[in-house]
Amino acid sequence: MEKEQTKRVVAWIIITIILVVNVLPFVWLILTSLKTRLDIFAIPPRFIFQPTWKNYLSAFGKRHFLPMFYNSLIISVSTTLLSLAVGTLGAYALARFRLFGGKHISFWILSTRMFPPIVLVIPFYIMATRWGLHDSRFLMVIVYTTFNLPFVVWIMRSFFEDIPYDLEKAAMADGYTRWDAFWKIILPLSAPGLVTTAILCFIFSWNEFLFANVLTAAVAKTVPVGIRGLVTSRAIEWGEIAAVATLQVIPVLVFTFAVQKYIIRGLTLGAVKG
Amino acid sequence: MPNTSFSLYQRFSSWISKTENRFKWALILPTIVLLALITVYPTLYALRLALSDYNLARAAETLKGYIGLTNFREILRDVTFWTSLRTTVLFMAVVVTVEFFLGLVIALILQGVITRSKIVRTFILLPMIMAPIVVGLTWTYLYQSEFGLVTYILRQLRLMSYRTAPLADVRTALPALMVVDIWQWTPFLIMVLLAGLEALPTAPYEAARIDKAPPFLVFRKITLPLLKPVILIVLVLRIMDAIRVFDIVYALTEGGPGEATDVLSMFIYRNSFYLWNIGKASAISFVLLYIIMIISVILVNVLSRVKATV
Amino acid sequence: MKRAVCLVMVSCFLVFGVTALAFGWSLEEAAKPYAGATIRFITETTPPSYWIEEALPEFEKATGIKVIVERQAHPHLEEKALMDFAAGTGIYDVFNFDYSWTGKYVKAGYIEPFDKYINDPKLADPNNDLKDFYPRMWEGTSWDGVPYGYPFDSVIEYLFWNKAIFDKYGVAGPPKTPDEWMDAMAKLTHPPELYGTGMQAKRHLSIVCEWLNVLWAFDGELYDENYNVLVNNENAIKATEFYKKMAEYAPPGVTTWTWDDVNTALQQGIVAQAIQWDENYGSMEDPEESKVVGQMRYAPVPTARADGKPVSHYGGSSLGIPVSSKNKEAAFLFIQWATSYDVQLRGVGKGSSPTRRSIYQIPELRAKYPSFEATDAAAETTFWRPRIPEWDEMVEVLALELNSVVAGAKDVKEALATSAAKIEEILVKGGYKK
Repeated sequence: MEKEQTKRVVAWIIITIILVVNVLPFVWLILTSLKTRLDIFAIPPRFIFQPTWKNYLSAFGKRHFLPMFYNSLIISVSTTLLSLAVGTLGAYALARFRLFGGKHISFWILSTRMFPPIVLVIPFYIMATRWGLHDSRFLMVIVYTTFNLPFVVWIMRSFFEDIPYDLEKAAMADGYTRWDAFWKIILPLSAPGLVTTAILCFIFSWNEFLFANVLTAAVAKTVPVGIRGLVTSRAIEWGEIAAVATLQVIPVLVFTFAVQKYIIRGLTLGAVKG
Repeated sequence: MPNTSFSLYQRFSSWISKTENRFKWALILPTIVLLALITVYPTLYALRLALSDYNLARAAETLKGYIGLTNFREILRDVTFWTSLRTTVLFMAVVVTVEFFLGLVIALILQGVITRSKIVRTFILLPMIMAPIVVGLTWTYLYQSEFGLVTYILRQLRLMSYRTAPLADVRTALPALMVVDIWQWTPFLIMVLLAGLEALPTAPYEAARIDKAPPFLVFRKITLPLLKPVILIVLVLRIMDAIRVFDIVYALTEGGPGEATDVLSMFIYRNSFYLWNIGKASAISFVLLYIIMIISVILVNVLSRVKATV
Repeated sequence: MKRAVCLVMVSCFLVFGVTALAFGWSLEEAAKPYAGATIRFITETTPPSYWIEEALPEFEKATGIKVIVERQAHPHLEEKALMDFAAGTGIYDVFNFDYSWTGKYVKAGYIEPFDKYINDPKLADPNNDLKDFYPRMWEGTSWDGVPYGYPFDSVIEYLFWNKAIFDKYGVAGPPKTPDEWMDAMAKLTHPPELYGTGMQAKRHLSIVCEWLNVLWAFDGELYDENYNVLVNNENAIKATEFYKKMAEYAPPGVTTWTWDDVNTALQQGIVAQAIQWDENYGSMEDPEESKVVGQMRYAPVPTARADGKPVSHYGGSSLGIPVSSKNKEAAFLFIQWATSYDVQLRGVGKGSSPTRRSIYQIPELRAKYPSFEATDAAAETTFWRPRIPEWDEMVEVLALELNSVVAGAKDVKEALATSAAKIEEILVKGGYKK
């Protein structure tokens, strides 16, 4: 029993250390967002200071971040819905049926995770401009779906495989069509999977930088691009960077809190059940 | 029998479920079409670019060009490519190893001390759910040579002199980056390995307890083998991501100082957007892709073979 | 009587005629055919761009042309622009281009020659005195005698020195020779609060620009008129040794600094002096950001040149029109407005970095902004960096080698030898040298 006690104490010490290490940079970010320039540049770094809302006001005032938040929101939600709608159907087909080329489709999906994103930037740019989609939210939705769709298929398939086929068999025996069985029975059962996948898609799109940086400019600019844009020629606006970054992280935190039960499953592509 | 009022939904439902074939293909087709459009076409286009000498600053003359494997030959002869490859592999090897061992040890300690607290779990995951660019900028700020918090702490601990700063010194830049990546991804390893450990069957452990087997033997002969699938997936994922690391390098050092942090993604970016050599950059990307695939295949093989001997 | 009336009438006609000619052109009239158009202006995240954005509403009101301003940091500016031009997609109508890109864009056929707009009476403002632009700047974005843009941003790199700090430590300023310069640096280095100099030594265009000043100060040159590479000759070696030694008196971390970080350091009074672009004069005097208001002075780079020519580095840009643009005339009207005497004058202190000689002669401005005198003097003799397309590759080579030297990873002779070899290769491949 004593051994158990020590183990618990050690474990909790470790947890505390981890929490401190993980959260400290973020806390420092929040503190910075409330500091004046003078306090930010102070040496040694200050933990006690007179807070100000100036950075937040400036972010939405002078720096026009509201449209960027709007863009990020619209794009993330749209791509999530699109990927979820299309991908869930595909995942169900892959989970339940033997498909010609099913294995290849699976490998193809996994390989999208291996490709260095940078090289797809130019082809996407050329495709986009050829179809007049440059600097549009629509384009970003399509681009992000490229990454989200395989992800959705991979994870939802794992959730579907967990549900015994007997349920559909019983339903169909009761007169349900195949579609009914899927739509009315299986789908509700896999709700946790849907929610988790949706949230992971949202987080990915909300956080994405490289493609947004290259493919958007003034109209469809997203928050990550905007934050990087605060590294200006006059000065690196650390206060404002911190303010916007804090705001940008909050939705992600909230969502993670909501689904952290299944998040491990999502992040390991369904292989590890959290 | 559901009531036969033949609404739109019911018409759709019976139509699509008519035959098994129709059902499964109707469901998978949107995925295939969408994916083909947005992954196959760009990838083929990228391949086409890799076989050309397309240069943005001389687009007219180079767009239709076809130079076969010249780019690939040039890359393999380029010293900076090999340096970049070495840096990337070094980075990947160190971060994945540290993240794995750190994650495993912590997971083992935390096992059984399950914290069901949602808040604790969420904040443990915080580093990896933050946008990589935000992580990059935050750590740039922490490592800032005058007023950076981490720099200040390092100097107070006499680990760093006032003459230099973490991101400015060729000896410390890459380790500084590694620290950021480790900070970012160790939580992932911890949570996944913890989940894996908690899903293990209890029977073998019971047997071991009865046999009074020493803990280390238990770990080696029971835990490790049973954990192999989880270890495999997590290592493959981390290796693939670590090799392609970009956002934090771009935010913190852009490849400098000197060539200290010039990972392959940065090398590709530089060729694309500082030298406008799209053809060459695409070729390097494919080389990177092959490397990732080879490593993944090797890893899968090695780990599955070891599993068989248990 | 009749003759008198005749005379009066003729004079009246003459007066009205001349007046009509002079005032016949107006922006509103010229813009009428283009009202309702939207043009997109891609520019750098530098002070003048902020000023233009502030002044935009008056242009939009007068012409009915809407202008979208897209700001990008230096390397990304070209990224976006080149992708547009290469694909011919006509996204950008006005392009703020660095003069050293002129060769590249002209040879690729990406930007419009300006003759046809200058000679078009419907578009060209007769009151716009093109000779008022500094010749060095005008020629900077001309190629083979043809202008491709109107100079927009005078960006000259020279020495910023903080008089208050110099006085406090009893150092006479400004330094005139490299020896005096290094002496001043040594005397003014009191870490960690104060350092003798700032440096833009990041592996970036910034280190190349800064080093060029020192190279020229030591009578060095990248290559001569016959493209013989001089990057590793004696003068270059001396210059680079000097540049490396500067790091001893610079804050730690300069190997990650570009002009932005140097600016912050100057504003915070962390460095006593630094080589910096003159367009930042406004931020030195901004009480919201700067701790050194009223303390900054400006001088040419300390030189050891045999010909005594003052050293400064031109880095300015002009506004040009992409060939792929679909709104070229509207773009021209905007460019003309943005580089006009009136707009450039009003923006002084708000970000504008004028390119017109007349503005720098105004006594009130010279009194208020000490940098004006320095810029005016430097503008006639400022040095150019290469404007050929191959310059990008050379920057990559030099940035890496020089940054390695400052970071202590490479020895000066070795770095210069490597640079010389690679630059030679680049020039041969480009067909400049046999």
